[in-house]
This record gives sequence, C-alpha cells and structure tokens, in this order.
Amino acid sequence: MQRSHASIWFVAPAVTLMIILLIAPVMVAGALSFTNYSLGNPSFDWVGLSNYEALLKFSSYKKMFNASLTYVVIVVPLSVALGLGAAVLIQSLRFGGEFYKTIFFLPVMATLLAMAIAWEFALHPIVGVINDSLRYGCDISWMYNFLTGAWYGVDPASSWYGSSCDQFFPLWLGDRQYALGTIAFIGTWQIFGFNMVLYLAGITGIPRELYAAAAVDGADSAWKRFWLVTWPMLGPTHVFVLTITSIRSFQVFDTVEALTRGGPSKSTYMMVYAMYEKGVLHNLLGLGSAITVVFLVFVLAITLTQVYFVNRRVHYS
Amino acid sequence: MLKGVSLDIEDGEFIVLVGPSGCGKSTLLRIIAGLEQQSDGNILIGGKSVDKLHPSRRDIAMVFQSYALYPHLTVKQNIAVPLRMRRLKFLQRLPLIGRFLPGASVIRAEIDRDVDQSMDMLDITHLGERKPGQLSGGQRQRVAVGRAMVRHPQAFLMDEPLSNLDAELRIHMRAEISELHRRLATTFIYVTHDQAEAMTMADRVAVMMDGELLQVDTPSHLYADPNDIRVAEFIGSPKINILPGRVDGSGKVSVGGRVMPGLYSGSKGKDIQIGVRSEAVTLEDFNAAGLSCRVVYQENLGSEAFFHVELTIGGRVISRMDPSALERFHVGDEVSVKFDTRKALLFDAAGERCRDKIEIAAD
Repeated sequence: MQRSHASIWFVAPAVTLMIILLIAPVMVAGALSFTNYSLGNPSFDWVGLSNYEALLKFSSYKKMFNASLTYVVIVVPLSVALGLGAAVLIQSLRFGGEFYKTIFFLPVMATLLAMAIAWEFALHPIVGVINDSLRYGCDISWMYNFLTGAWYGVDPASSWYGSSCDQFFPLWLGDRQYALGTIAFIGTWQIFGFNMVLYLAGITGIPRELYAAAAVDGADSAWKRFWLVTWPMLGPTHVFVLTITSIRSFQVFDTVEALTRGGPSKSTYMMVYAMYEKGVLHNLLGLGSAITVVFLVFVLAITLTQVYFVNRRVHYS
Repeated sequence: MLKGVSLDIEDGEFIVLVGPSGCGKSTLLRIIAGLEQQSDGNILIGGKSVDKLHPSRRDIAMVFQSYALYPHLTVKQNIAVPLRMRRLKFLQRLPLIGRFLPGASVIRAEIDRDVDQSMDMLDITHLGERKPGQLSGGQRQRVAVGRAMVRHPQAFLMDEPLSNLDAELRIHMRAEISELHRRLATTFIYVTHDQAEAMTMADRVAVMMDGELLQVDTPSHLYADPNDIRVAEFIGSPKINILPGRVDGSGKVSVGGRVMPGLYSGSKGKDIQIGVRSEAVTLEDFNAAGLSCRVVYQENLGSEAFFHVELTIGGRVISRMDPSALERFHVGDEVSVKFDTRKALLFDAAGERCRDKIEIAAD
C-alpha cells in the first residue's frame, strides 16, 4: 500500500503563504540585524552583534524602551478598565445603549492619522480648544476654586491649575513632561471602544441564570454580583483583551508620526517609530532590523503568556 | 402573564407546579423567589410579606434548570457561596488578605463544617475539589441541591431541575429528591412540565395553564376527579379519551346517537363531552349493544396492553387491557367498545366539569 500524499497538497497553499508572508520576512529581518546593509548598496558586511550593542549602549534607545514601556503601562490598564466599565454600564441601560456604543466605537473605526490632526488642533497651545477652555475657567471663580482645590483650603497659587492660570498652560505636545502622557491619552481614547465591544460580547455570553442564582445566594447588590459572576466569567475575555491591547499599544505609530515625531527630546520615541526612522528615514536597515527583532521578542512574550493563561487558568469547561 | 393566581402552601409540603411550557409556572416561581416583580398582589412567606425584599433576604433557596453553578469555583466553593456572601464581610471575602482579617478564620471554619455536612448528606464529598465542568449532569444536579440546602432555608424552589438529565437518571433523581424532602421536612416548590414527575413526587399538584391556576389537589384526586377538561387531558398517560355526547330531555346520555346505558346527566338537552380513562374502556367481540369500532394499533408493554380503536361514529379511543386480550383482538378486527360508566367524567361544552352526573345502577 502506497501512502497518499494528498495531505501535503492540502496544506501546501497555507504553508507556502505563511512562509512567504510571515516566516521569510522575519528570517530576513533577523539576518539583516547582523549586517550594516543599506538599501541601494551593492553589498554589506556582517557586523555581528554590534547593532544590538548600539541598542543597549546609546541613550536614545534607552529612551525608546522607556517611552514604549511607559506608554503600554499607561494605556493598557486605562483602556481595559474604561472598556470594561463602559461595557458593564451600557449593558445595564434599558435604552440608549446603541447610541453610546456608536460614540465609543467611532475612534476605533476612524483613521488615527486624521484623528491625530484633529487632536493637534485641539491641543494647540494658543488657539487649541483645550487650553482655551482651561484659560476660560481661570476667570470663573467657582471653577477656579474647584480646580485649584481652594474649596479644600489649598493655596491656589501652589496648585497645578492655579500656577498655570498665573503663567501659561502646557504645550501638550511640545513639552517633554507632558508629551508622552498626551500621546497615551489619545491612544487610550482610540482603543478603549474596541475593548468595550469585546467585553460587551463577553458579557452577552454569561448565562442569565447565574445572576439569578447569585441574587438568591446573597449577592444583593450589583457590585457583589459583578465580583461573584461578571468578573470571573469574563476570564477568557480578560486574557484576550489584555493581549490585544498590549500588542496594539506596542505598535503605536500613527500618533507619534503625526504629532511629535518622537520628540521632544525623544520622550515619545516609540519602538515602531524608531524602526521607521532608522530603517526608512535614515536607511540603516541593519539597525532597524535589530529594533524589529527586539519588538518581535516583546510581542512573542505577550502572546506566549496569553497562550499559557488560556490553557491553564481561565478555561472552565 | 399570570391571571389572579392564589395558592396556599403548607409548611413542609412538597408542592409541584405543573403545566405545559409557557403556562406561567416558572414565572410564578421566579416571583416567589423575588427574581421578578409581580404587578399586583402579595407574596407571604411564613406569614410575613416579602414583596419588598430582595431574593437573598426571603430565606429561600433555588435550584435552576441549568443548575447555574459558578464554573470558576470548585464544588466546595460553589456550595459555600451562600454562606460566604452572608457571613463574611466584603474584605473578609477577598482572596489571601481575607484570611488574616480578625474573625475571618473562625467564620471560615464554620462555613467549611457546614459545607462538609451538606456534601456528606448528598454523598458528593469525593467531588469537593472538582470544577463543575468536570462533573456529569447528575453530579452537577446534586451540587446545585447542596448549594441550596447548605443554608437550611425555609423553602426550596426548584425550576425543572431534572429536565436536563437522561430518562433513567431522571427517575432515579425523582426518588432521591423525594427522599431529601422527607429528611429535611422543609417546604419544596417544584416546577415541571412532566406530569409523571408531578404525580410521583408531590403531596399536592397545582395544574397551571395559560397563566391560570386550574386546580390544586393531591395527585390521586387530580387523576380521578378533575375540575376541568384541560386538567383531565394533561394528567394521566395515555391521554384521557374524550367523546362528544348529548343529553336528551330525560337526562339520558348518548354518544353518536347511541344511548349509553346507565349514564345520566342533569344537563338536560345540552351537548356535553365525556372523558373516559383508558382503563375504563374495554373491548368486546362485536355486538349490537356497544359502540362499533375497528382496531388500528396495539401496543404490548408486557404488564398491560393498549388498543387504539377507530370508532365508526368517528374519533379514536385507547383501551388499556390485560395482555391476554392480545390473543383475542388483532389489528383490523371489527369489535365493540364498552365504557365503565361509573368512571366516566362529564364536561360541558366549554370544558367545565358537570358535577350533576346521575348514576342509576342496573338499568
């Protein structure tokens, strides 16, 4: 009996595509990261680990890791918490849920580059609507008292709002102190609607009888029922949302490119932007590839953590 | 959905709410539990109004059709939930930290003891560390019962708890739940659509249809003395035979133009419906006195035999007889049927029972 080779033909298209589109580029990037190749050069030299040494040695790359990790650490918890909160609240609405879903989901669908331009106008230090509104509040006594903490007995001049009123409000994107926070805020605004939709789907999948059982079992407030039923039952959703959000946060590029270009003084120099700057703008493909490989390692680590949790802890059946 | 339902349940009684799906029995149970709000009327438990009370304060426990076990908790933790939610404060319930708060360890030990006692009673101690996903249907059912009884509530509400089990296990669990009721001596309110379950387990059965409570009575009364043709048709298997009849001016009842000997009714000059249980129908060799019919189907159950016959005047009747009759009558035979008129139930055209049946022995 001869073994049939049909199985090979069945998997061949998928495997071929995966090799061409995924595995080969990764291998090429990995190989290039050990060279000093530039696009257009007829040849290149193997330089060993010197590209990786550069990543560890130069302070701009230290800032890059710092900025990327800080961004992830701000955006992931905020957008997950907001997404879950919005989903739970919308779920409890009797009507109007569709309206809020649409509003919160709009930033996800919109082109981030276009949205970034809108944000640039809003955040403009002189004519931007945000600083305009803040300055306007300085002249309204109750708002001034409230925002400076004067109602609580704080010296207005020592508070952030009070001193900004006296001098000037921040250049949100031009100040090293605020730029990363501002970019993270826009990132959160953009991504949390997506998490909300995932959580809404997760909540829909929870059997209603569990809430009835919880009510009879003594969970007499919505808060108790949330911790007894909703939170644990969303286990698989939590893992998925955390993974997706972490990866997407690492991948942030559009806002950086449109608003700050990594500045001021590299405070928003995120990994994917650095990749683009080194590999495309400066035509240092070797260095860009080295950043890419490090980036892949991060993403792979997140993905493997997810696989671990999915297999071990959060699958109930 | 429910129309003017009024029901008194004795302390320690096993009452079954039975009816076809969509009749409102589950809604009634959920209203008693407080999971749904009634638009009108009162619920009293132990003489006290509970209308304004949250389900958790009504001192009841509920077993759900899907069991509604918490899939992320082990069997032991599932059973402990009603006690933890009531005895421990929010901070004490927290994982890790909760253990070290003052007073928590004593309460936790008490909870463990009560949970062990419940599990012991249901013979599920060996399953303690498993999660619901690793249990069979019957085991999940027991865990759900354990979670309900751990707190010793005033009443158990059960919403079709056996309908997800296979036939054999269902019959076994019927006996087990009845046994549990005897041991706990607590009120059980049990909802089912299966009339056999209702008849075998209940002290009293409440038959519901279209949001109405038709009759509340002991199983044997319900079978022999139904108030309504819908109750008669719902209770009993095979279904009761219904024949159209007419009462003449003198009170004699006739079916298909043939006077039924020995059957009289006070509803003179009216059309009525006659209900006859299959055991009150006997087949005879063809004779002029009975209603003529043809055997169309027979079922042999070993201990008894069912004959389905087609009446010449129209309509089908099922007769339950001794299996020895299988040798006398065969499919296709022309025979006669005779009714035991003492067991005949008369209903008026609208389906209400006519209690003015008059029997005159030996016509």
